Amino acid sequence: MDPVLSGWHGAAVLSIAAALCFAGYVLAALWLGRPRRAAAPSERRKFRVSLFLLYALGASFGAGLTQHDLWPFVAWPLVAADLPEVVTEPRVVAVDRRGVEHDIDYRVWWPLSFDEYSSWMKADFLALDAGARDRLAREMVATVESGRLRARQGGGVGHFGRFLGPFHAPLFLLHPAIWSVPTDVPADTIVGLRFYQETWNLEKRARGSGVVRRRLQYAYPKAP
Amino acid sequence: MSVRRHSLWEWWDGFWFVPGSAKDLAAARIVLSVHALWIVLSRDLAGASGLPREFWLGVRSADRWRYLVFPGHPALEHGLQVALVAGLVMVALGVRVRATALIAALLLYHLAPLETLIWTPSPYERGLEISTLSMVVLAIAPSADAWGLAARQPRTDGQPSWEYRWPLVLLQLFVAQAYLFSGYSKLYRVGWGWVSAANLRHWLLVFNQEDQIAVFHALGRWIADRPTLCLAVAVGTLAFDLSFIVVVLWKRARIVYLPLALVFHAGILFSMNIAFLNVPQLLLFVDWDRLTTSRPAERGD
Repeated sequence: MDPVLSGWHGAAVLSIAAALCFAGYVLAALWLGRPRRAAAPSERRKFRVSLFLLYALGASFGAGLTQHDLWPFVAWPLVAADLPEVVTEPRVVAVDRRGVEHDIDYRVWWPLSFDEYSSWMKADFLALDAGARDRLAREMVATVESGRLRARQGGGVGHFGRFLGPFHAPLFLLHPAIWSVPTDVPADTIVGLRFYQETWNLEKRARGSGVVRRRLQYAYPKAP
Repeated sequence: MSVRRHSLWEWWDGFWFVPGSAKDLAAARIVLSVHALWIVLSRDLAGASGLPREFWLGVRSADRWRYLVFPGHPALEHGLQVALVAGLVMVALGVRVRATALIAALLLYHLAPLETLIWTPSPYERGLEISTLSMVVLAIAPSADAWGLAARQPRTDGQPSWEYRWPLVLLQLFVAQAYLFSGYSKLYRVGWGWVSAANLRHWLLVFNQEDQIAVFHALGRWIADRPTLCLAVAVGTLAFDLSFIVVVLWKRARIVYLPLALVFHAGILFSMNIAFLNVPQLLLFVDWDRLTTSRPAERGD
């Protein structure tokens, strides 16, 4: 990322530039698509189409070649990093009445997808003040508990397949549906959440000698 | 200088403005709108508007204004989502495409970012970026001259025309850019060091060791345990990404690249647990006119 366009102000500038870029694209299309222009003689129309094409090429190649995302003109940085041997990922677990921790089915967070939810937890949750964090955690516990109850009764979790059933679009990253079978769903009421950062060494774990180190970032309710 | 300018224009003219098929452009219209419907009906984009306000506290006002997203109005957003679905159905059916495709484009631009806006203003990889750009093109192209319920009298009487060619090539280019920039970004952000057995092994390991992601385990671990294969996959991935754009320039390359792309994405799905949601858009490269014209005489054989 260009240092000028990193940081809060840089990101805002980029956002405005992206909005203008898309607005220009739509306006150029409207200009080209006006019925009077559509009926113009062939050479003149080709020239106008060419101007629109140049705009579309400029915007899309501009985003790609400079690697500045101007969605929907996208830079497509797919798996474009040198991944270190030690990685850190967030994990939110549910805590039942007996204090036992349980992993949560990704579909519980509907309408959010797991990827958005966990990225937000990693980036923004801890920046909230303590009161806001607790208020939100209370709602999350209620969400998880209602998902648990539905799954326990065999009613399904989330609504990804509400219209298309098994043919619904998967998420970009797959996730195991761990509460698909009622007997796999926690039997006890969920009363709390814990948010961890998990760190491990990829090579050591691949050899079976790695340990996942967990660091508690937040707990609701707080331990007495 | 003027000779060079002249030949450049000739190349440009010969690339964008040679006769194209109404059916191929109509097929692109159907593929893109049905694909967008598939994504929209599998999510609840509008639902994010009703999330607790704490989720929205970190969103910059520039980003809210960029997409005209003002959280706390889920009913309004659901209404827009219904309008989007109706618009995409009409585009697929070829009904009033000039208006419905433009409305669909604007609604996609507004609604798609709701999926990610709480943490990033760029909803890329969520499957709707190419659709958003494409609907604008379809709105100004004669994409309903074939295979449309309410097709008007085609301006070319069904004959091939350059008016069918340039929009289709632009749409194909948007799809091909996903591969080109995916390869380019690896070199831009990492350099040639991306092409190493160790880096690819780490990517395979992280997507297989992270139990919140891993659905498929066997293939990724099998490849990760073979350094030579890791290196070959890294080299092959970069070469495939950077060269895929030839399918836009050279039709015959599609015979090789389209099946390769399917194997490529199946490999990524089973080894890295990544679903590239734009895969169905590869159907834009199929020669639908040839496929649906059965008689040899009609095909010009």
